[in-house]
Amino acid sequence: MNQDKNKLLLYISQVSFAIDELVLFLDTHPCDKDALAYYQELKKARKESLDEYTHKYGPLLNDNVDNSCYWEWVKEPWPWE
Amino acid sequence: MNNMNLRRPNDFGCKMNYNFNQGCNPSRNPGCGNKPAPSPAPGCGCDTDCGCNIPMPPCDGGHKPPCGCKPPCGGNKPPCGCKPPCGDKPPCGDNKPPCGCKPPCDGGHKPPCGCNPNCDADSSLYNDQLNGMAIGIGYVPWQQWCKVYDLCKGLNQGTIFPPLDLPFYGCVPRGYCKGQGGVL
Repeated sequence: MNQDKNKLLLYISQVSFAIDELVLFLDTHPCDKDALAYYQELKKARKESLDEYTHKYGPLLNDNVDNSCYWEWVKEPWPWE
Repeated sequence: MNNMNLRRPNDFGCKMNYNFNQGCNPSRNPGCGNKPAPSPAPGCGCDTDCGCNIPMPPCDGGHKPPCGCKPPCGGNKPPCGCKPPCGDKPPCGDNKPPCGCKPPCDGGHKPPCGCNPNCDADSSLYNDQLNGMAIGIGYVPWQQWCKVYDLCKGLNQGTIFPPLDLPFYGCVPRGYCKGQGGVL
């Protein structure tokens, strides 16, 4: 796995974890404007990074598969590979 | 023993009045009515047979005496169905490890009461920062939004919220070095 791919994957992990944390906060603070604004920011950043990863290296999540002619998911290495 | 009101202290300092006759009359005591007529001796036969020769307290409609106040089953045996008295335990309100024990540091194998497992002096449980606080009271302060960690630090620390980034004080098995959260 090349370094750029690793970096991008790490960033996706970081932003996804931050969203998970934020969701827990919002579950108990549904009106917190700061938290809501940060959620929108992170959500956008996560989508952009996932799109970039999918474009460069293939789908990271099965709902990132965009090709309607071929199930590209199977081209990715399996977890044990 | 018939027609005898027996007032006797038991081994735990409790005193109870036992009327061994009235407790065995099914007509007056519904709790005893489902059992066959009691044999004359030993005991009234209205309660669980504890295997001893001392009669049980009367069946007074299901109101059993509190644990610790039943008569002992013959000398040194503990009373039937009761736990032994709490004489060896520290007095109530003393929020310290029981019986002078230090918390176990060997991965969850609790040492027997009264022993000293030779835990390290810096054992995290032994240095519980909540020592001395009232037990049985829990609280969770309402979290307020604050400046969160950047994404990298958030994943590394396991939270994006600095107020929740707290040190771990759990008991860690021996053999783990400090870098792994251990005490060695």
